[in-house]
Amino acid sequence: MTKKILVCDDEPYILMALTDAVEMEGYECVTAINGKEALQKARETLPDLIMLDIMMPFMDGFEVCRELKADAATRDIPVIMLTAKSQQVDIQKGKDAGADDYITKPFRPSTLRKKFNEVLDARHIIEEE
Amino acid sequence: MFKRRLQTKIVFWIALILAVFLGTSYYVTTSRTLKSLNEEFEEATRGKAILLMDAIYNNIAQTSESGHMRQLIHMAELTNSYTELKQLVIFSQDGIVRQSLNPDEVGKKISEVHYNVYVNNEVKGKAYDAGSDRQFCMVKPLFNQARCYACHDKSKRVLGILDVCLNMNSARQRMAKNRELMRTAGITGAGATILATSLALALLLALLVNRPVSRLLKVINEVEKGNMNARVDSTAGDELGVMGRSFDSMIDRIHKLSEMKDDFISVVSHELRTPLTSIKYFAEVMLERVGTIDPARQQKYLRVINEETDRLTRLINDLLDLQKISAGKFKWKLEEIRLDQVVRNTVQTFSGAGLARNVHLVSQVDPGLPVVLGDNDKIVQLVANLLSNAIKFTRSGSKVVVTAERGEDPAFITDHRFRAYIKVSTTDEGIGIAPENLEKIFEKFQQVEDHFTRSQGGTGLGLSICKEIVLHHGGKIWAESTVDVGSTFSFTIPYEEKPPGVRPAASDAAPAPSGVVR
Repeated sequence: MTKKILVCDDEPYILMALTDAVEMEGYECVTAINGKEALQKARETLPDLIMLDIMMPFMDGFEVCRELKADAATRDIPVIMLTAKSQQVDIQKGKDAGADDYITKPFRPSTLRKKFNEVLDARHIIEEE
Repeated sequence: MFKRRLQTKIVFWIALILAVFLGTSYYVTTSRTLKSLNEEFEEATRGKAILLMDAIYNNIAQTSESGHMRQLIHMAELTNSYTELKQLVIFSQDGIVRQSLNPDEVGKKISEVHYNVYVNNEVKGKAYDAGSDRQFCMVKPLFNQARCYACHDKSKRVLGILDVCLNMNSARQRMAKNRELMRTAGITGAGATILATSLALALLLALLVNRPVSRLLKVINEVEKGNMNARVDSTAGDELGVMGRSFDSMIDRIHKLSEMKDDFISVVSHELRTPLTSIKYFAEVMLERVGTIDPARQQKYLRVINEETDRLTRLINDLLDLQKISAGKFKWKLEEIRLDQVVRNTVQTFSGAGLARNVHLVSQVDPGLPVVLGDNDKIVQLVANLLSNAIKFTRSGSKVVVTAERGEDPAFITDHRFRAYIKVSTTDEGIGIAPENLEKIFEKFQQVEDHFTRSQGGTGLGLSICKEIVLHHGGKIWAESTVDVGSTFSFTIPYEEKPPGVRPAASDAAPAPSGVVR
């Protein structure tokens, strides 16, 4: 079955970039334009990986992450936060919110692809066992 | 060091002033004491002279009988004044010496001083300087009386004048010695006391000044080292206390400015990073797929890069504008603006963005709005900023309403030369803004760590520019919001009312009362 990735960013062009990277690797892409939508779509579609921006209207990435990790249905989905490189505070906050990893902006296409495969392959192995 | 120098100066000057003051008062007191000593001594000498004269006078019969002055000397010895006896004379009323200790003087004229004492009836005697000596002279007339009759007739007359002259030199020397002693003692003893007192007082005063100064200096040093939390915390009401408090508020201000700078950098770096992220991604993707990429996709990606570079340019222009406006260096244009047209055109421009988010844009413009004066480009930017925010924050599938109407409430005007204004509002159906953030959002780069602004994705810059533009035109900008229902952002631009009859040219545009852009 094709793996599903939920990408969430309030900037349409960044969302477009994330979608491009997901589709290039042959995964199915679900998009969300704000935190609330991300939470709702995560619960509806139960993706294999979630990419979350931090600064978004309605609900920021940390809050979305905390809610996902508090919910038994979504707790095990890996979450990758999109942070700014200089913001060490955000990286720590992401960890505290339960995020599994982070990618700094601006990002390279190869970095995104590598990260997708890394996380999804690892999950694949765990599931097979 | 500064502290030492200040303290030294204060101590030096206060000590000097005190020393001069105390020294002068000491000198005055001392000389007064010496003067009274002088008088006392004269009094004592007079006493001696009286004693001596009385003794001589009482025994004058025998001495005169013997006609021998030695007898008188003996009398003088008895009074213990001999050592100081300078002259013992009896002279007649015509001033001729009749008898004297010094036989050579007999028959000569008595000195004028002594004669005058008698003639002027100076009964207390007189002290005077004779060369280097100081002498005291006292006279007593010898009246013809019973005991004189043995030798003299019985007529009533003055037989002669007894004149005693005592030398005051030894006493003067003692005095001089005393004075010398007092002086030396004064300089060493009193001088030391004066100096010690002056120094102690000066030190005390210096400490009073020095303590707050040192405290201030310590805090300045702390701040210099980078500790922005150091404060003087002075409570004194004097100048130094005020100085301390002024310094504190200065540091508070610097602290706030530095926080604003940090917030500014945070906001700007986010605003820069967002377009850069898209540009970087799509440029690299196209490099990776050179020759294999679908031309339609390539065009789409290139368009993103193109738009995002425009966005960066706008951001830089906004920054420069804001900096110029804040510094009062912005060159505002003054032209006629048709706000109804501005609103309609902006809604038209954003219809694409609205469509992309499935948002209805509704404009409700009152007919016949007057022309306002101002900077057209900036007003367009203002409306565009508010509209793009509203589109961004309203829920997908909801609508954004833009209204423009006339008003006359002075509460919505900051420049009170005007009475009327046009109010433009954008209303979204978004999550809303917490009441405590309603004013904060217009502050320059404020509260980036705050939940609201963070989740706004960096609108701090746009709203600060909006506020500057509105304030320049004499209007007001504010936000009203109900959480979970939506927010309304409004601004006013005041205008000068034309006299009745001169209606603004509203008819030539013939605007529809409202329009819906889907």
